[in-house]
Amino acid sequence: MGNDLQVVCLEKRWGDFTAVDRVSFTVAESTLCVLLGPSGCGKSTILRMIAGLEEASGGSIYIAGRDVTTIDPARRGVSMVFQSYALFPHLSVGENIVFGLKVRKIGATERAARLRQAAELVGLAELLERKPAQLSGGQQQRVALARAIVSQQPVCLMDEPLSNLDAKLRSEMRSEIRALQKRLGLTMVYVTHDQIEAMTMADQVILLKDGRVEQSGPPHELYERPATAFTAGFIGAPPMNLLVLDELPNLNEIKAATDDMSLPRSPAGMRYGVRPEDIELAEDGLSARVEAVDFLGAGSIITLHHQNQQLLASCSGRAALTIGQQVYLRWPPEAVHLFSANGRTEAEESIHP
Amino acid sequence: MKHVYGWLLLTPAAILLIGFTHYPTLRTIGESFFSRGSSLRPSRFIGLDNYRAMFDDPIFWKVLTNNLWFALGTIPTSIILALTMALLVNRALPGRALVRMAFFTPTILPMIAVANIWLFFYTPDIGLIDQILSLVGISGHNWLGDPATVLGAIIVMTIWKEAGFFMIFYLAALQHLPPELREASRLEGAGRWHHFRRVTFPLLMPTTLFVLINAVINSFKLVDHLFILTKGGPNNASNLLLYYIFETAFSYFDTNFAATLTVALLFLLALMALAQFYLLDKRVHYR
Repeated sequence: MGNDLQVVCLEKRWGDFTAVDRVSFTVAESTLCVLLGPSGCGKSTILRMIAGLEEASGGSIYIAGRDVTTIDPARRGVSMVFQSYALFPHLSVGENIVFGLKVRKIGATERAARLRQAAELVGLAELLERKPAQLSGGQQQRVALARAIVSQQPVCLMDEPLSNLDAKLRSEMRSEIRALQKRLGLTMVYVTHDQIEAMTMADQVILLKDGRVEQSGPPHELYERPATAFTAGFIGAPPMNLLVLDELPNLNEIKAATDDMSLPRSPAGMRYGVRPEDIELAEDGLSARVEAVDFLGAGSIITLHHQNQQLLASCSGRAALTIGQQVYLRWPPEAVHLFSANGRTEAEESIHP
Repeated sequence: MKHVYGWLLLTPAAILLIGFTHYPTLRTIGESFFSRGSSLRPSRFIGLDNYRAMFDDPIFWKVLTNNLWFALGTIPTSIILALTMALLVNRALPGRALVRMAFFTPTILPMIAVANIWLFFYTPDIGLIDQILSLVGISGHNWLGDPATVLGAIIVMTIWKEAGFFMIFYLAALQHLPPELREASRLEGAGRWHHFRRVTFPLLMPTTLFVLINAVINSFKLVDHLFILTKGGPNNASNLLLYYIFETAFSYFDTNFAATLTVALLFLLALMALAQFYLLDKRVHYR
């Protein structure tokens, strides 16, 4: 048995409201699992139940094969980094980091050694005497990380740790956290609403919606084979275009975009998905009008309208288009994802009718 | 032109401050150097004679000692009680609003009403305390008439009135502490007491300093209770410094000696406030 984490049929209810509904997943030893979802999907509640800060209404949690569902938070073998960092404002950086070691009555020599090691890992060695208020947001984040590392618990929980940082720092910390996790062999559960964090860091993504697992798997799988329209719209930036087929007066145009790929006969409520990065400008195909062009440097994002439906297309470089211009779009047939009225893919539909 | 405008804006506040604080203070200090005037012998400058008389006055030393015991008796107990009550009502508790109100009620009662309630408690034989004590066979005692118990009786009443007031400050401070701090220390295995000692109490230090200074000032400010309950008696056993000043000025009409006593009180209070700030400032973490 390694230091893996297993969540089985986990539930959380407040009165009539079900925040987490029979969620199950397994995080293999030394891997990073991202719980991803919009706000209110229950991802933080799951994390807090794993930590023991919130009581589970049903289901079980196993860490390294041991049932910890009702065990005291301190004895579960988890460390946690809070969104607000939860640093003790009156203690110095060093005292903050070793707070838990003192509670656990670890000797002064070992404490000092572990503090030095953790501080060097996160690059805080020079700042141990400072108070948290004298540090920048990024440095405070590092203190919180060091406090989690120094406890040497096998499972590390992170609750939106980067949401208070600016964009540049965020991408730096992303790769740093990922590198630390690999180097120390931590089993990590990472909660975020930012799909870029999920795509770049995760070994496994668990996408949640309304307290249920919408889809789980490695990031590339969620991107390439979204099982639901929700996944398709959540993963990827900009998100996948989802055209409502009912509202198109003429399906021939959309067929023309893919060399006459056949469409199901009854398109009632069906959505037609294609990623912005698969769309190309061409001589013929689906006609659309240019609404806006956002130049991002390496590429541009073009906002287009076909009939009354909006489409986004991304292209490299600066798109030489004028607003209001008529263009034609094409994409390869294999880039098409069809979702039925209930949001599932056509392929899944045939398996689970 | 700008100067004039600035001074005009300051004038209303300055008039109030000078008229009601600075001028009376200076006037009091001035008065303390003059003798008591009468229709036959007008008041005249006597230098430090009033101060010499004060240091020779046994009642002055008596009320000062009383005041010291009163401060020692009320301050630590009411602060500890206030903090305990605040911690108690800061948690999820059935009927929390009701409990909070109950703790705070003594504070909102007027001083005179409080003194009357406690007068009923302390009355010999028919008072609440004696009635309860008679059930277990202890005979009546004149709590406010006995020099040995009178100061203690007033101390108990003052604690009852002040603790709820200080609780409000602690409660406000506690609600400013982010709950994640407790969660973080729980994950590290810190128990309630450890968390209180290492995290909550240090973070409450600014409040404690504030409450402490208020408590010290209050302990030298007590007049109303004595006026209703004991008038400083018996034999000055419950007399405190401010009440002695009041008596000297308005019963004996010796305003110059009262001014001397007032200077002594001001000096004591200033000294204590300074000491508190200098000694505790290093141990207080302000955010």
